[in-house]
Amino acid sequence: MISFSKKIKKYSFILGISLSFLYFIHSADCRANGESRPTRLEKLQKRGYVRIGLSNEPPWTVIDADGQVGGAGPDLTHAVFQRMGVSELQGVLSTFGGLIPGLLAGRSDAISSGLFIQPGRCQAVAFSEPDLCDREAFLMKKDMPLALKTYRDLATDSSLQVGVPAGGTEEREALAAGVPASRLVPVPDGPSGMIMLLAGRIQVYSLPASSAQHLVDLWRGQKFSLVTVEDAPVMCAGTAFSPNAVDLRDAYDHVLAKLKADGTYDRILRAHGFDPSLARGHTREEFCRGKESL
Amino acid sequence: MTELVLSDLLRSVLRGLEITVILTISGSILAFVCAFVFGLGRVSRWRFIRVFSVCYIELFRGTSVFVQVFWLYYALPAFGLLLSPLLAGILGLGLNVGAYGAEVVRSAVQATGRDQYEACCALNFTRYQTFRYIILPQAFPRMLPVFGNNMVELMKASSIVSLISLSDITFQAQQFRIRTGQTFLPFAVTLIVYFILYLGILFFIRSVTRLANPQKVKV
Amino acid sequence: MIIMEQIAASRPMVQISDVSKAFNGISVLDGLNLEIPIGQKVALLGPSGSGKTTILRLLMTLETIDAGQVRIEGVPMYEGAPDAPCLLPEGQIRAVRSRIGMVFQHFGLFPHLNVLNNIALPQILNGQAGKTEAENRAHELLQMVGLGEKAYLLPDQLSGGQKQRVAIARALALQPDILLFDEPTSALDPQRVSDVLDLLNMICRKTGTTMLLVTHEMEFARQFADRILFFDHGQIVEDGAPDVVFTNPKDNRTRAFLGLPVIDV
Repeated sequence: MISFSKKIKKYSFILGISLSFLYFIHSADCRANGESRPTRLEKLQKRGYVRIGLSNEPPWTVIDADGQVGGAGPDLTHAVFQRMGVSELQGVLSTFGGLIPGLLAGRSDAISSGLFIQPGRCQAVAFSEPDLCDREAFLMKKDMPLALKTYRDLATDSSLQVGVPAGGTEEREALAAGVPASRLVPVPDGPSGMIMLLAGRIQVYSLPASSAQHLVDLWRGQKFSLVTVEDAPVMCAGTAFSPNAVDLRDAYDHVLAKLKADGTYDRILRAHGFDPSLARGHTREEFCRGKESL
Repeated sequence: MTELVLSDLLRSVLRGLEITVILTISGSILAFVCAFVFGLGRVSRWRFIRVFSVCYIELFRGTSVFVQVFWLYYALPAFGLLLSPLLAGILGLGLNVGAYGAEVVRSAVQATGRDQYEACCALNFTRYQTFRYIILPQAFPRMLPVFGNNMVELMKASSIVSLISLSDITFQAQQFRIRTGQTFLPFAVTLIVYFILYLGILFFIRSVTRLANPQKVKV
Repeated sequence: MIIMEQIAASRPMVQISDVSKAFNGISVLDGLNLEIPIGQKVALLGPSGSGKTTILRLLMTLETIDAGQVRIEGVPMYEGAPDAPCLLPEGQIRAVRSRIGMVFQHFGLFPHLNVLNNIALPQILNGQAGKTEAENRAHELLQMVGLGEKAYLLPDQLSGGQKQRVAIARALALQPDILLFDEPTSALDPQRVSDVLDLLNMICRKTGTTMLLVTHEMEFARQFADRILFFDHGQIVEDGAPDVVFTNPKDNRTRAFLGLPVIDV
């Protein structure tokens, strides 16, 4: 199961890249004809619902047994689209690796599933301004006397196997801090990471702090310690749009700014345990440009 | 609490089961049709049909079903063809397993003795009559056990549809895990459900094999 | 009446003209000429690989010829130049083929059909009879070959001799003008050989069918045939009535084969 998920993500990534290329070729000639057609937003308003690409990553996205969609990302996106005149939100559920290919293939209108804004992804999709921000955290078993606070600490102790979310940003951070790739273990999902910790396959599990907190809550019986990483920057997710839907993205940004101003944004984030203050002062430009500029 | 979790699990499994069963049955029907069309096409008199059939068989056998489903779902829209997830899943699984089935049909047809073809020629049968009344009735029972295996493979491969936003039973189990952190329970249930489906396919193939028994063939 | 006979005489049932056939570059038949009049019973003898079975197979269109022409009662089976003959297209060759029946050495019965259906199905598929009529006729033929009780058994439940009689009944059901037998006695117990002979003689009396029979059994050939053809290396080396061929063959190869003293030339 684990190696299978790994395969999914690997394939999805490679194909996603090649497909986005195909899509650009296709969309190039679509753009050429006619200005008078209705805008994307007008089409969504007429249709009455927006399709949002999601993968189940609590607390960013929560999907219950009946397929009901919740969580910080979808709730915020829903609120924005309601203000834009699109009342209904329809979830298009897939694996994390299937999110961007699905968006580019026109399967969804936007992705709201805690997709961090990074230079690589900015090439493929059009991000909104940052909405959900988070710090990085380390999860460890409590009985392990490890004084780990930074990625550099991980690099110095060569006995540590470090779990990182497959396809996530943590892998790059750890590599940059000098952790050899041979000690990084891709983890397909949260519960798998917890089991790997308990079984001793990994000693540290590096992941966004809110995800870590969610897992610690789920594993109430067990003793885990959660440490916020000191040398990792705040990471921000954005809602992702197709690269030829920049007009829709701009309309979304406009409303998002209003929600940030009137307190709706803070209310939704707090309800899901996110810190609304983290996003302030951060911009899409900054994350898309990447590390050098920080 | 436990009751809530169990009812959550039950609902998830039933939802997933529905998708898995629909995929398995529809995919198998498509695979069956493809197996015959292209398996017989492979031994056709017309070169074009032979070449076309070989291309289909080798293309779908030689690439991963995973990539095929991915293409149907994510790549075809770029060419203006937006298949629904369910249709893309059925097509991907059916076409893939059908390619394996085509080789089964071909080898079963070719395993029928030369004397049978010669007897048909001596009795002045047309090619169609030869296949319809003599070759296929003898070859079909030989195909059944392998068709059964293919159907089981298709059922197991159906778990890849989570990739294209279909919530089959494996995906539901995975979702349940992420929601609750429970690992043993959902996978134990999934294991049992897959095994029951397997037994169902086994029973189905046994029944068809009994029906196709040469002792009972009527003209 | 006289005119009719003349026409019949000018149109042999089988006419093989300058036929050559090679397998993988090895010549099996080489410029063969042969005419067989209507109603004749011909036995083809000769060592293995002498080309006698090939003649049956190319008459049945199981093989095609490399050169020459084959005519069935004047109707050619091939079109195009004599040095590059091409079998007639499917629709036309079926009309010619329908006049010929063949009983194979290993019978070629359909194992998934019972005895009755083995005989009835070809009639139905050739449009000669409806289901009921075909089955009635199959029952009659089974009575004739002495297997009236076996109609509902599968071929695998029969002995070798019984299978062969089913195969003969199946070929007869299509009422061919020419019947070809490939080694009809080779798969049988010696004591069954005379049964086959009786059956073939009875068929001849009833139907007047032209018969070509390949065999290794000298005695069988002698009792069955009106005419003996002795083959060697794709050529007819002896052609005549059984009494002449068996007692005083002209060719030394035939003499050697029959164990007669070789004549010095």
